[in-house]
Amino acid sequence: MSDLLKPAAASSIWRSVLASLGSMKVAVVILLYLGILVFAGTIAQIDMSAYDVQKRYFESWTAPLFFGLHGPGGLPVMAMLFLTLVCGGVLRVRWHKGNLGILVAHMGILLLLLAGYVKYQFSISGMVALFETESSQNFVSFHEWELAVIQQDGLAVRERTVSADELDGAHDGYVMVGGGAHGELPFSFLVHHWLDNCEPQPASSTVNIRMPIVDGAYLRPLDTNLRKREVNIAGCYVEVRAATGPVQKAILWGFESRPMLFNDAPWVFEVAGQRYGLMLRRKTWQLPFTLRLDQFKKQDHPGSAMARDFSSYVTVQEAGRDLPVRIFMNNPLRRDGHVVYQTQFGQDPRNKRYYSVFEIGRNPSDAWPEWSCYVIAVGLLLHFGRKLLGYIRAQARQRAGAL
Amino acid sequence: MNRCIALGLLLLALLLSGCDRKKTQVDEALRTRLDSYAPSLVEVVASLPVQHDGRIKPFGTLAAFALYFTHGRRDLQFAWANANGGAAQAVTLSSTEWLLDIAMHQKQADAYPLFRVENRQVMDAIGYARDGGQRMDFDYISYADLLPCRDQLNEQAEGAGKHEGPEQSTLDRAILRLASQVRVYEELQGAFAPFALLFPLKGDALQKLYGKDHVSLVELLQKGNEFGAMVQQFAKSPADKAAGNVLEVGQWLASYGESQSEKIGFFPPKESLKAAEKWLTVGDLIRPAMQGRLPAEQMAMLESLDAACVGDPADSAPAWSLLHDRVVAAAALRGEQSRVAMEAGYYQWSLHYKALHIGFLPAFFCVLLLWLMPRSRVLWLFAFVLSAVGASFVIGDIVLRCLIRERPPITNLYDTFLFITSVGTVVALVTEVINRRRVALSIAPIFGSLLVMLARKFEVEDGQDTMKQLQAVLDSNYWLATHVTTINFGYAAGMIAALFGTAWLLMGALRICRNDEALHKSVVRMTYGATAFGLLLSVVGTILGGVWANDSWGRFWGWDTKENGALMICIAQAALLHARMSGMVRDFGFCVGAALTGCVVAFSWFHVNQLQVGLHNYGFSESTGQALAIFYASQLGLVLVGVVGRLLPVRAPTAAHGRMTQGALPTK
Repeated sequence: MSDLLKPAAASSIWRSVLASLGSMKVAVVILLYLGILVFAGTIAQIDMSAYDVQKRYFESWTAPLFFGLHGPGGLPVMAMLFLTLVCGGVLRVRWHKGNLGILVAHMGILLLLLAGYVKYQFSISGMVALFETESSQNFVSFHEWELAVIQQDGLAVRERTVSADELDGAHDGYVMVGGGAHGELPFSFLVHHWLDNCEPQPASSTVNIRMPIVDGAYLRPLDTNLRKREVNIAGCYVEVRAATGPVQKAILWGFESRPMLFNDAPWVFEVAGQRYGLMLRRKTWQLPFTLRLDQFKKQDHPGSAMARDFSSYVTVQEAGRDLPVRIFMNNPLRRDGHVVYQTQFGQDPRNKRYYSVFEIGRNPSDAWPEWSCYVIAVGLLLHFGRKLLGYIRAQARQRAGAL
Repeated sequence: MNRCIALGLLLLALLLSGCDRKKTQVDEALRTRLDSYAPSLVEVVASLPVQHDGRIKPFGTLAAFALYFTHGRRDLQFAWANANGGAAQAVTLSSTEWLLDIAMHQKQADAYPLFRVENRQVMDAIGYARDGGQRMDFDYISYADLLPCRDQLNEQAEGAGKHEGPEQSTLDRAILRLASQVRVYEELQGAFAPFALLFPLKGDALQKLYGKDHVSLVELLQKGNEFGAMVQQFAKSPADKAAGNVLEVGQWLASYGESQSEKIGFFPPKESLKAAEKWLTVGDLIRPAMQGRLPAEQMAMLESLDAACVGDPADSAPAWSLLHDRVVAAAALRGEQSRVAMEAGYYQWSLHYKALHIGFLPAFFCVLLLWLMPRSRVLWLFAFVLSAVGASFVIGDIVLRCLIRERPPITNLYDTFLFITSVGTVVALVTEVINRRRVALSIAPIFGSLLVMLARKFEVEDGQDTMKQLQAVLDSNYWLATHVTTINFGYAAGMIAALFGTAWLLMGALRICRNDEALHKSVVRMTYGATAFGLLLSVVGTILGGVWANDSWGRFWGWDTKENGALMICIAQAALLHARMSGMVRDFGFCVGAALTGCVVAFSWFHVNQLQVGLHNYGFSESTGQALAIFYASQLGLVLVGVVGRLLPVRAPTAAHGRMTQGALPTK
């Protein structure tokens, strides 16, 4: 048996690992680095959207800092902070009355970090836009796209989706979809020339076009809006290849499935006598209930155009029951693990009909930060309160001594 | 050394108070008002309730913020230039007097050097002929001079408005600012302009109805019912010769009424507050007058306003008083008067200004003397009481603002100055009570004076009503009272910790009480205490902000710039306390860290707004950027002085030093 595997040695290694990870000096270094990372992420928002900054700085393994230097990103830093907190702030701290405040505060911070991780890993966030009297059971992502293959199967409609992550290679090359997970389809399709922001244009012989032309049209690349990523409209080219029959080509453009237009018209093609639809759309999720916008009301401050309040009167339709709810600023609807917030509104200039935009989130750790806030507050109050009392007593004693 | 510092500071204070500026000259030929306004008239007009930007406020408040925004000063100063070569006559107008001139002497007001233009490229961009300017760093332009360039200004502003956030250049911002300044002025002008008009009446029908060939707006509306009927009648047969210019006048009135609907509301509606919140503008009265359903009370108010603006100058004061009484009575019936009266009083008392002059500045001088005579209990008492008086005035100011708005203490950036002043000075004074070492007592008036002065500067340069209505997302007294208040407690504690840390560094560098180790240790403890207090409140405030964001925007944390700023404070303070506990830093490192954390607090408090990105994008201003740069530079400079001073060799203590080491106040 090697010395390292002996119980005493193992315990000693364990202790030294614990001591290193739980060292307060390590914690200081991590905190200082985190400060620099946050600062870099803040400054980066001058040129980049908050979403991109979040992905590149705080939900990444490495992050660009300053002067072309890269360093660890938010994921390893938060993980290290968590480990250091567990080892140093909870396990190594002496569990006695004097340290109660520190222990409680550290546990609150652990809960907060855990909430962040659960949100990062398991939460989804999107939106749905509804005109008055319209309803929806779906909501869509702000930034993420997917390809949906739709198949009419008798009376039912079957959908298969391919997320944009799987199509990453289509920016500069070709991605073949079919076989494997999608093997049940009697065809495969090739995705290429993926553009993050573009618009279709009719092809003209007078313009030198670098993009492929399909049915007399092509996708014109547009500059990607880095500061408002949600306004970009993605597009791509697809080629459907079946065992028999010709290759069928098409242009897919995300604008056609914009939620405001409700014009979810896929490109329809036929393979082996069966009709299929293919569409590029924002990543879509289903709500466990149907949301219907009954009325939208905007109230301005008197004599001004400044909004005082905007409220959406909605009906939640679930299991044959209708539940009227008012969603307004700072008062979201929380139901079945989903939270529906009032985020924007607008008016169709043609018919003056109002529409309301709801942000919808599903986050299992939705309430954890609030709990952690209470725990941290109690912990810090206990700790610093005890220190302050001690200081005041010492001062009083000193003054009494001087007398 | 202590005496040198005290005398140096005293000299600087005296030097700063003795600055004067050259006044812009205006041709006396444009002068139409020769006498000053009676103070009683100014007071009446200043307290007249009006509705503007969604809230009822005294007319004086509207005038003040309009002047701040357009002119960048609290008063309007210029000199009447005598064409015959006589001495120029200096004039200083208060904001209400300026407003009275707009109402009653519009041509004269148009000639005032009003619009402050800090970026002279703006003038070139709009084609304004510069004459070299009379100031070093900015120019004042009158409305009359700007008028020929008005179209070009609109064009330039339209172009600049297409650029957003960081894409906006300094010139774009300056052009947009000038365009907004002109709009504000024109809004005031537009509210009174129709009173100065005489409508020419053409055609038999009109001349028969009014019995003359020119009428004022009020005369027109006094027979509005008949006039309205005439407009309807001739609209069907516009070619009828008898119509004269009925349709043209009717058209002008309609378009004026429409343009004024969201402007200054002078007339409280007859209905209850619940039934009708909006006060009526002059334009709003036109349609009901032409339909014969304008209530007599509102017609009477309109007549008073007309008499006040264009009547016989001798009668204008009684007319303003009559209008004031009528409006106040109507507002009182609707339950809207009490808060207006309170607000008029608030601006009249100007408690934070009193805090500066009665409290903090005298306390500062007492503190200077106290460092010269460290054993004086009287001076200590004076400094303490005066600082406490200053803090009380600021607290009183905040309480009044809360009562007027029925809101928690902080709803905008301006409020943060007052709140942080009060919290910071109270923390410093409480620290002094616990630990009588003069250091916290010295910091209280310095902190209070600086922040009140900054608040006043910000109020003028921002030029936005500091009690304006809230956006829908901010309209939550619960979150304003919890998150916003707590995070600002954290800012205050962070700033105070930075000052304590800086004080410790300077005391060491300048060898102040260098043998009194207990004093130095106590300053470190104060820094530690303030940092710990700051960490507690910053962490809780930041998380509460996340909880609010979760309710409003659907996510707890979005790495928004303001959120990041708050997080950076928490990180800096937590790192500092852990570094201290782990022994990585001792007194010196801890105080350097605390002093630098002040820069992090300033970054979060103000600088993130300057980035012009994110969901908390508000309060951008060029001058704020300059002030921040000065703060960062001074803080870094002071830390550098502290570091270098510590590294220099120490001389043997002199007799003077020996005396100063006894500086701690006797406890008995």
